[in-house]
Formats: sequence, C-alpha cells, structure tokens
Amino acid sequence: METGSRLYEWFNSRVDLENILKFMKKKTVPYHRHSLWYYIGGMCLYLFIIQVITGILLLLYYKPTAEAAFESVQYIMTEVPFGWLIRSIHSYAANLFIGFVFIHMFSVFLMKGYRKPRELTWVSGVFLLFLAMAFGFSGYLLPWNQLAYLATNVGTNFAVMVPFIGQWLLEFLRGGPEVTGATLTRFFGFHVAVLPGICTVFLAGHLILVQRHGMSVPVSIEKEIRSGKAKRLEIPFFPNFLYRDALGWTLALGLIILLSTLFPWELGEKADILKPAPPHVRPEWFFVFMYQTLKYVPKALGVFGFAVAAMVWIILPFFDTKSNRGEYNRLFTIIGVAALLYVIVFTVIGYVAPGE
Amino acid sequence: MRYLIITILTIPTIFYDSAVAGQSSCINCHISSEWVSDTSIAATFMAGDIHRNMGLGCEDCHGGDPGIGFEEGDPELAMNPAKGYGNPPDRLSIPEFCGKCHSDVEYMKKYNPRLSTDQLKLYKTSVHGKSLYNRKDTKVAICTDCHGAHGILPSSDSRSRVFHAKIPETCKKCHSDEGYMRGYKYEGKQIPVDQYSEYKESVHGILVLEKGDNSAPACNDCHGNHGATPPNLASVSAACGECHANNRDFFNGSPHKTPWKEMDLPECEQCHGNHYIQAVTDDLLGVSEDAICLDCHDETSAGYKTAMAMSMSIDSLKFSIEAAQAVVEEAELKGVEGGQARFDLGSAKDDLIRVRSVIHTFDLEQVSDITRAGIKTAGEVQLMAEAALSDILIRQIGLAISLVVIVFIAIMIRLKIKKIDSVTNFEVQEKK
Repeated sequence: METGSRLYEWFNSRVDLENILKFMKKKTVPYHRHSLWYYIGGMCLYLFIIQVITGILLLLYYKPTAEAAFESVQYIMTEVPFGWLIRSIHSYAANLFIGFVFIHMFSVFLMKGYRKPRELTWVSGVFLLFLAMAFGFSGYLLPWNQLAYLATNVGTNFAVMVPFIGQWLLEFLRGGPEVTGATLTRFFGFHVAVLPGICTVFLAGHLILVQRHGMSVPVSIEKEIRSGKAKRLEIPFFPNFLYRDALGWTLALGLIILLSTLFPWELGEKADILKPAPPHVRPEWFFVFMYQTLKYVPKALGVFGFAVAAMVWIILPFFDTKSNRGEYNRLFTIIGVAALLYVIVFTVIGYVAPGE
Repeated sequence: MRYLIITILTIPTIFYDSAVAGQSSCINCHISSEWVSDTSIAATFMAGDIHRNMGLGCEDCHGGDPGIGFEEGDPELAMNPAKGYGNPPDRLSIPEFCGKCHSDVEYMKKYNPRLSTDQLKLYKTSVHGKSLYNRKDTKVAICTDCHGAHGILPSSDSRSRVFHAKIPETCKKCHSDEGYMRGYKYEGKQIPVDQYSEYKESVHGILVLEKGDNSAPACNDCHGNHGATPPNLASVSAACGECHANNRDFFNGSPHKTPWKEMDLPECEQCHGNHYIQAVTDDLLGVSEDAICLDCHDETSAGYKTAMAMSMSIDSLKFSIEAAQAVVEEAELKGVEGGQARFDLGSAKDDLIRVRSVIHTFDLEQVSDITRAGIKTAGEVQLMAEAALSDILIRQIGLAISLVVIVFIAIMIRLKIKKIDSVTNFEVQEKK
C-alpha cells in the first residue's frame, strides 16, 4: 500500500494524474431515449483496436510479394496456431468496423450531432470513414487471390477518371501501368504504414474533440428539456457508461469469434494474371453503391460526382444554421435520409441485379 | 455470283496493279468479259494468290509476254509461243509443271527458304502419284485438287483448302464419294468411303473440326500429304507415336510387341481403332464386359490375370483419390483452408494420368509401383483432411466454451450496470 501510494505520487508529480482522474470522475454522458447511438463511436474504436492487434499478429507471418503473399496467408490459415482465427477476426472485424463507422456517421448526421461547436469533430470523422475505406481497399488485395486481384484492377482503373493527373494517379497507386507484385507491395505499405499514420492523427484529433465537447444532445431532446417536458439526465462516464460500452464490446467479440469459427474467412485461388475474369466481379460491399452507380452514368461524370458529393458531405454541417440555433431542420434530415437510402438501395441493387 | 463479287472487289487492285507493275495484258483481258467468258480465273488470282503476292505473274507459269497485246487489241501478241507461251498443262503433267519451281532448291530459296522442295518426289511415292504415273489415272489427286490453281493460299491461311482444320474436308471430297472411289482397291479390297464420317465422330475429329485444335491430327498427320499412302501395320503405331510418344515407347518394350508382329496384328489400332478413335475409359482395361483384353485373353490365360490385376490396381487408386477428395471437400465446406491438400491430391491425380499411359507396358509391376505411390499420397491427403475435420470439432468445442465465458461476462457486466445505476443520480441540476 505504501509502495502503491509512492508510485502514484511519483507519476502524479510528473504527469498530473490527479487532474486526469478528476476529469474522468467528472465526465458525464447525456442520458435519453436516443442514448444507444452514443455507443456506436466506442464500438468503432474497439473494432479498430482489434484490427491493430490482429494486424500486428498477421504481420509476423505475412510476406508482401506476389510470389509469397498467397502462400504466406495459406500458411497462416493452415499451419500457424490460431492463425485461421486471427485472420478471420481481422477480416470480420474490418467489415464490422466499416459498417459501424457508416452507422456512426449517419446517426450523428440525423441527430445533428455535428452542430456548433462540433463541426470539426464531424469533419475528422468523415475523413476517418474515408481512411477506413482505404484500409479496406488496400487490405483486400493483400492475400493476392484472384478476386482481390480483379477487384483491385477494376477499382484502381477509376483513378484515370481524375482530371489532369488521372494516369499519374493510376500508376502511383499500382506502382506501374498494371496491377502487379509492385501494386501488392505498395498496397501493403499503404495498409500498414501510411494509412495507420494518417489515421492516428485524425483519430487522436477526433477523440480529443469528443472529450473537449462531450456528447451532443439531439435537438428534439434539448427542446423537450427547455420546455420542461423532460428532465436533463446524465450518467457518469466512469464507470456507468464504460460498463455499457464494455457490454457491447463483449457481445461484439462473441459475434466475431462465432463467425470466425463457423465461417473462417475464405482465401480463394491465387491471383493469376492470365486467367479470365469470372462474371459478376464486384468490389467489397462498402464500395458497391458507388460501383453500381457508375454502371448507370458516364464513369468520368460519376467519379466527378462522387468527389463533389464527398466534399459537400464534409462541409454540410457548416450550412446547418437552423440546427445551430436549436431548431429542427427538416431539409437536413431529408438529405441525411436520402443519402442513407441511396447507399442502401444501390448496395442492394449491386447484389441482386443481374450482371451485365 | 461468288466470282462476280470477287471480280468487283478486285477491280481496285487491278487498277493499282496495272499502274504500279505496268500493264499486264493477261489480267486486262482475262478480267474483262469482252475478251473471256470466265473472268473468275484472273479474279481469284488477284484476290490473294500466294504466287501473285510473291510478285509472280501469269507469264511465270504460262509463258508469253504480258507487256503487249491488250492495248494493241491482239491477245495473240501476248500469247506468243515464241516467247514461251504454251497451252495450260493437262492433269497428267501438272505435278511436273508445279515441280519445275517447287523442286528447285535454289529458286525456292528466293521466296521461302523454309519451304521443302521434295513435294514432287514424295508425290511420286504416294498412292496418288503411283496411280497417275503408272496407270495414267488422272482421277487421282494432283497438286491443284488440294491447293487450287489460281487462288492458292498458304496452308497457314484458315481459308486455304490445306489449312489444318480444312484438310479432312478436302480429302473427303474424293474419299467420301462412293461413285468416284468405286474400283479403287487396297490390298485387294475396295477402299471404304466412311473415313470422314468416322473421323468426324472421333476424339481427333472433334478436336480438329469442332474445337479448332491444330495440334490434333488431321488426315495428313497419319497418312502423309504429298506422299499420302495408307499406313501399313508398322507405320500405324509410328504415326500414333508421333504424338503419343510415351505410349509408343511403352508398347514397344511390352510383351505384346513381338507376338503381335508375328501375328500381323496392328499395334495401336488393334485396341483403339483408326479413324473412329474414341476417348478411352478405364473400362477398356481389365476383364469386365467392355474390356478389350477379353478379345484375345480367356480366363485361363496369364494375360487375363494381369489385365484383371492392372485394372484393380487402377481402380484402387481412383477410389483412394475419390475418398480423399470427398474428405477434403467436406473440410473445405466446414471452413478449413484446403489449398495444400488439393495441391497434394494433384500429385495422386498425376499418378493416375501417368499409370493410364504406363499400362501400355502391360507390366503389372510397373503399374502397381505407380498406383501404390498414388494411393499413398491420396491416403496422406485423406489423413490430413480428417485431421482438419477433427480440428474443426476442437474449434467448435473451443467456440462453445468461449461463448459460455463471453455470455457469462456479459451477464455479469449487465448486473453490475444495474447495481451501479441503482445508486447513481442521473438527474442534472440545471444551473441558475
């Protein structure tokens, strides 16, 4: 006990532990009928941490060359103790991660959680979604199997649509004019070094802003509180909220392990550049809504449209002055619902529509 | 109609040709219906004949002077015997006529150094050539029957009558015509006319005619082309062995070789047939109803026992592969990565392919050596897949335990939440 106190004092005098603990004790989270959505952000963080841990474990055996990548993943799946589990967890958690980031983003948008002073939290969050998608895109190629090879071919092809620098961008992404072993090595570099580096900066910024501003209370709840129809309720972050988070994380872990054991992530066939593409090649599910859209509009126009839409989506909160004043903004709700429906409907069409 | 189209299409080339190469009286007259009744000869020649493409003109075969006659309105000036013009050769003299150039090594070098110059020599050894020269039978095939006369295309051109996939059709024109072939005999028997219909249904015919596979044999690959002749007993296996080299070598070292020779039996043909060669199955070997071994071997013979043993040996390998494959598929279905198992099983499948060739040694020991190796590999794969299946069971037990622990922890957390919530005041005192 004596040693514990002395250790605490030692650290306290150097990193101001007392202040941190005081902040943790004081930190509260609003409590109301929409509180469930507050846990989604924590779930995203939890899944991201799983990705980091399992990713590091996979790195111990993975070899990022066209000659050895597939075989090294095969080795992980068959020979490395629990390798099949680690890789499957990495793959399932990756997809759940992106799924939860989408849910998080739309829930924040529809609850107008982006309103002043949280605009920068929104901006950093949308960038984190783009980074998550980039993680997914680059990681998909790493096992160097046929489907991933073809999907990367199709995916990177869209780069040429970018005005002026299209061809350069394509070759930058691929490490040459074609998808080859050079692309694999490059994507590996993006996946384990470049993206994590950028992601750390955005994630740190995002989390600091969340701590700084606290959770946003939806406009409708604020109105009810102001009119006296409801009381302002809050729960302590530590331990009440954290326990709730932990409950969600525990159940998510159970789900991931269940999926990984019953349906280990497939490896498929090794990429063969000379093999013809099978019919109905489509990218990963989180790109399908864009891929499907590009089937209906000229590709250059579509790519340009998505770029504009992404930029508008990022800066949209800055124009929602009505929500900032604490009023209900029907137009922004319609925009949010329309965007959500568009993503869902086009993703479903991508899976059920007959291939051309 | 066809010639009319060709004529129309080649008109621009004629103008080009006349302008560049100077006026060719031959072409100018032979393309015009004012001068000749059949303009197709010149038209087909101009439409891509290989001689024309190589820069040769009518006069190189027929003699005469193409530089004169048309403008003067007198074709006789071009067709001047003093300038080498002669009547077109008759069928009997066509081989020698073509051979004038095609047997001249020095001359042919200028145009195609890789083209052989032994066609005439070979032709004279062929059944066609012998009939032509010995019996003056002009019904037999001569150069122009297969290659054409004025529209000759290289054999690499898919429009050519001697393009690989077109050869059966070309030979068929005479050899499937019962009336035309009447009276032609081989070894005292009327030559049949069903070769094409049989070949068309054969494994080789399907490959060549339907799948366009130029590596499968057409008529000339077994019979020769310019030296075409029915292969005799010895050369049948030589012809087959050109492609099926392993099987030929195995057979040549087999105990069948000498007795079959003594009995005047053909080799490959005895079991596989000739024009109507079907894709082989394992049922051909052994002592079952479809087995061809029974054609010669009765139950008391040693060959009968060997055939039975070889067939059983191959069946055992097949069963082992099938059994291993089933377990591998089951393991894959349950989520185990089976790439390595499939790869290893490929080695057993290679053994099966190899042993199907080695059976031509009719040596039980050699056959058994291979099947044993294959069975061993398949067995190892099966064990590997079975181990994977038991691994799946262990995984599922591990999953069940993990889920119990996880659910327990979740319940404990839920209870904890309930407990701490009961002592927490959620209400916030609004600041005044």
